[in-house]
Order: sequence, then structure tokens, then C-alpha cells
Amino acid sequence: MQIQVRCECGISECREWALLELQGVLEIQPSAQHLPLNAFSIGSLCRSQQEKYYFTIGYHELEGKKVSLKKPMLVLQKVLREDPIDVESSPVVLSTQYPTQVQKTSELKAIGIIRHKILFKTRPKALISKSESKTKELK
Amino acid sequence: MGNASILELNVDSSLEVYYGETFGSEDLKLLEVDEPILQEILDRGVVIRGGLNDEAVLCTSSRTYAIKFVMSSNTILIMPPPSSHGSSASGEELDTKSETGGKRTASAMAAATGHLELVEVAPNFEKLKSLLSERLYGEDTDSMDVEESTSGLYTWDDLLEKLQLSEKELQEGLKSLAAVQVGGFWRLVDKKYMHCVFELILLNAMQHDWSLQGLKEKEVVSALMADGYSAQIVIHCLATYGQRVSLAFEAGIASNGSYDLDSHVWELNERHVCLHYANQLLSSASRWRVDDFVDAWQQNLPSGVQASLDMLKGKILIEKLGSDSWLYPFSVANLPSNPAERFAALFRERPRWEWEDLEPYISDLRAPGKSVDALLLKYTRRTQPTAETPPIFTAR
Repeated sequence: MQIQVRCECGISECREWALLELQGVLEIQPSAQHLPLNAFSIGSLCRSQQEKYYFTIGYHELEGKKVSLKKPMLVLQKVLREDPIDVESSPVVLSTQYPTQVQKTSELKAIGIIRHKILFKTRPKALISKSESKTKELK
Repeated sequence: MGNASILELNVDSSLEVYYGETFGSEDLKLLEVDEPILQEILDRGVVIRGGLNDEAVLCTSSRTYAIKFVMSSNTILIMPPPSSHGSSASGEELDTKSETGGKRTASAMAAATGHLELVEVAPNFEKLKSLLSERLYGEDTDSMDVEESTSGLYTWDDLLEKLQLSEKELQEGLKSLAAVQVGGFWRLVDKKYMHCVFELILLNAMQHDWSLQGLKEKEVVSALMADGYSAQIVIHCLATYGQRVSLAFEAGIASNGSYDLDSHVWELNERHVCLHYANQLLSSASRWRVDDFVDAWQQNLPSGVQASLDMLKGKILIEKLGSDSWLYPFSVANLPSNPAERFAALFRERPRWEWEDLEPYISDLRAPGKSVDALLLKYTRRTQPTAETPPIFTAR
């Protein structure tokens, strides 16, 4: 079988996306887990210098910088086969990461190019005074 | 709330990062590519190919890449640029937003657990060969009874669908296997059938006193069609064992006056002519004393064609028994194309190889980034007792 990988936006149009990469895992505090995810702010991102960023999550502050990727990355979006029965009966798609499992897909659409990421690789610093936004914390 | 780009954020300003509306429901993959592949995806797209039991590969128009998933333990948030509708996202706009007190935001569309990487792989023609071998084109296949069904027949598109090859690699594979397109299907011609056609061409050439350097397509085709062979196969045979010569040359050889612009002229490759007769001899006896073989061979050849044992490199092996040298068929075409299996087969045939003998049996092995030297290093042990003696290769 064949899966097309293409970009519909054209060379000049395909826009640059970004990655925020941080060590550790984001968790929702148990008391807030019944709420929809998009109700939350993950944190506050501040650019202090040209290449330097701070990311405040809960009462942790991360220091990071803007890094150019060695090779560009494409953001690919699965376009599922238009099969209404399939979508109805299984609205949840298990996203296994193995490429051989892509069979349900009829096409992968490139929707963005990534050339930079903001990488937070230092240990988070605790902000003692800040405690009002308790929904997230960095584990 | 204004949508802002995290990369174009002004120095000394900040924004709130939110989970996007569709966070968790979007199925996004990150694919690391180098610039040429990126260009190709943007320009015309690439294709992922593979059957249920294959590891998926990504094919550009000319190359094939294995797809590896590289896992990351970090949290990676995929951040789209500010949505283009509604507001024109520019630094200017960000400033006004901050001045009016509106909180600028950016939304993560998804989290990634890693990314996909591409590793170039050598094209694998084994499956192509086996698909095309399901139904060889030959004498019996074209009798009209069984010919209705198309099972075992493959079009160009069928092959792309079933194989893990780029279009260019498929083209090369079909060429190297000497496949021919008949009625829309790519076919391999049964070897015996092909030899038969070639034999007939040579016989006709001798009979009509045609020059092997200037065979007129029209004449050859009509002579063989009289014997029931299709024009397409005759031309395929001419193309396999020879080449079309240029018009200038064509004009030159037409000294006998019967020169016809409509007809293509073919020159048979001397080597193929020699090989054809050598194969005949080799199939008539399994071993030959080298001198006898060369005599018999030269005798069979049309006049003006000079045979040389060099032409049989990769097809025969010579061994010395006492004062005599004997040759026997051992063809690289019958050996596996996987390097490990190839070397195993070679060392089964002969435990010790001199470079000169070995070279024709491994020169076609290829893997990206691997030279023949690297293969030798990996699969053989090289011994050279003194600097003057040729090195000997044994199994590792």
C-alpha cells in the first residue's frame, strides 16, 4: 500500500512552527483532572534576551534558549480514510508510534515546518512566592 | 486574547501558553528530513510504501529510506504559528495587544513523544524479481487459452503499490532484470525463449549475410515474425543484446543502397554474441578443459567476432587440476543479493578466493555508505603471506 506525504500549502506558504521542549512530564493536579485540558494555561513564557527564554509552570521556573535544529522537521497530520462507519464506531484512534501502524491513513499532510525549538534543559527553579496557579506542576 | 508566535516574541515580553482546543485529539507526527527531501515533499510529495508485514519505507522519486522512530523522554509541545485568520500576526500587532492589556497567548496543538528519522536503504530487487517471475513471458504463455486472466501480471502502478522502491529504483530494477512491457504489463521473458529469439536473429543474420553491426529492425522483425515471434519481443531482444545506432552511422553502413530512413538499425553487442555461444557450450557439458572450450567457442562465433575468457567473468570459474585448467559455470546471477548470504554462498563454493576471481562476484553488491572494501572487511579474512603474493580471502 502507499501513503502520500505532501504539503498542500506550497513552498512559500508552509509556515514555520516551533517546539517547546522540556525535561520531565506535565501533569494535571488530581483536583483539576475532571476539567477539559484546554481550560488550562500551561505556563507563562517570557523572552528575556534574543535567544533566552523563561517558562514559568506552576511554581517552577525553567530557563531555556532558542536552538536551531540540525535538520528541519515537518509536522505531519494524518488524514484518515473517509469511512464514516469506521469513524463512528471508533472515534478514538490509538496512536501507536510505529510507522507500520499507519495503515488506516490515506495521506499524511505536511502542515508545518519546524526549524527552531525552545529547549529548557536546566533543572527547574522553585519560585516560592508564586502559588496561585496550582493547576500544573512540573514533576 | 491575541495569538502570538513564540519564536517572534519581543524581547522582554511574555505570553501564556495554553493547551489548544484540539490538544490530545490531533494525531501529529514529527518527521526529520534533510533539505533536499524537504524540498521534494513541498514540491511534489513523497510516498510511504509497505505491505502489512513490511517495515514502512519512505520513497522520494529516486531513493528509499527506512523510517525509524526516535523516542524522547522530554516533553515536546508542538506549537503552531498564530492562526492566520482573524489577526495578521506580526510584531506590530503584538505590541498593540500588550498595550491594550490583552493577554497574548500561544496554544500547544499536541505533545510528541519523539520524532521519525529517515535512513537511506539500498533498493531491494528480490521481490521485484519474484513478482515478475510468477508468469514469465515465453512460448507457452502466449497460447490463447489461459491468457484471459491477469493474475501474476503487473503494471507499473501495481509494482509501485507492492514494492518498497522509488520510481527511479523501480525503473533501474526493471532495466537490470531486462523486463519488457507487453500489453501494459511488465514481464520477464523466459530465458530459454529469449535465447531462442537471439539464436534466430543470429541465424538469420548469417543466412542473409547481415552485418551484426547494422541489423535493420524491419528486416529482422519480419524474418522472425514469419516464425511466429512478436515484433515487440524481437525488438526487446535487440535492445537487450545490442543497441540502436545513430542515424549518422546508419547512413554510413547503408553503402549497399538499401537504406531506409523508417527502419531503425541495431548493432549487436559483441560481448553478448560471444556470451550466447559460450552459454550454449556450457549447457552442453558441465566442465570443459579451458583450451578445448576456447577453441570450440571461437569456432562457433560468426566471423569477425573475437572471444575472450574475460567476457565470462562472473559466469565461470576456472580451477587447476594437475597441469590442466578446467572451467565450469558459476554465475553471479544465481547468487543471493544479500551480502551475508552472498559471501556464505561464495565460501561454500570455494573456501579460498583470490581477489581477481572474487571481484566479479561481489562488485554488484551495494548498500548505501558501504563500499566493497567495507564488505570485504566485514565478511572476509584477508591473508597475504608476503607482499608479492596476491591476497587470499577466506570466510570470517
